[in-house]
Amino acid sequence: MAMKKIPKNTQPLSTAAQYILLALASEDLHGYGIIQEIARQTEDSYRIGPGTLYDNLKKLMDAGLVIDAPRSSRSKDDDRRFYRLTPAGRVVLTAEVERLHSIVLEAQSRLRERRPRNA
Amino acid sequence: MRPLARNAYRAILLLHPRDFREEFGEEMLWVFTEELGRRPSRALTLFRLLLDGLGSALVQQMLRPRERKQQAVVAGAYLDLDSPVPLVRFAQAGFLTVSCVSLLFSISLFVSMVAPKITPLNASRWLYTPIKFVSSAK
Repeated sequence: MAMKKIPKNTQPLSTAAQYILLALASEDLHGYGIIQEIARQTEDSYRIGPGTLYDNLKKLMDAGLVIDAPRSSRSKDDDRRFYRLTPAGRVVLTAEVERLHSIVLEAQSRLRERRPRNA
Repeated sequence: MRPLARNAYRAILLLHPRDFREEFGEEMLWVFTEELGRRPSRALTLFRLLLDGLGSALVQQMLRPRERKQQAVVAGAYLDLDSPVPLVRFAQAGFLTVSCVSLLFSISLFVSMVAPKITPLNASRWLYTPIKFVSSAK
């Protein structure tokens, strides 16, 4: 089974970056909200610390995949910093999901195949 | 324990590059406090968070400057403006190494207290030997 084509410019994301983008896919979140969302998605089996979170957020912001959410989109009392996925971030996340999906399909087809030993 | 833990984390934050610290330092400290207060096994969480902070400092100091440099080249920026004095970088690297070694020592001490049977050292004999040496010198 041939693997799907992945955009050439897209490099595989780190696990933490994948989960951060995924957490931000549905809504704007602050730092601790991202950690809680990742813990919820993985049923607490993968929990990142603040060091890993902000190191990856900085990298993603430098790449233009995540931006600061404007203050007008939330209550005035909340002075925490919220993060938002950009359209470019959504494209990269979609490409990453497709890449992972093609790996899963390839793995499933290979595991299903049972070749005779002396073939 | 919490003020001490917060101060330890503040010290780790000082190991990060200044621009990163100014941008995310306060938030990192807030997330650290929230995480520490929420988790049931506080000692293990503390170790995990401190290690995570040290790892982040290491990545920011050793790996990310190269990426920032490449971005600056692409953007046509003047690189020398952002380059710190080498002595400062050596001091930071030294401080980071000492912190890592201290943390590893603390972890090994903690493990040896929890599981004394696997400790290779006999602590009482180790303490007794230098005392005996001093008294015999008189």
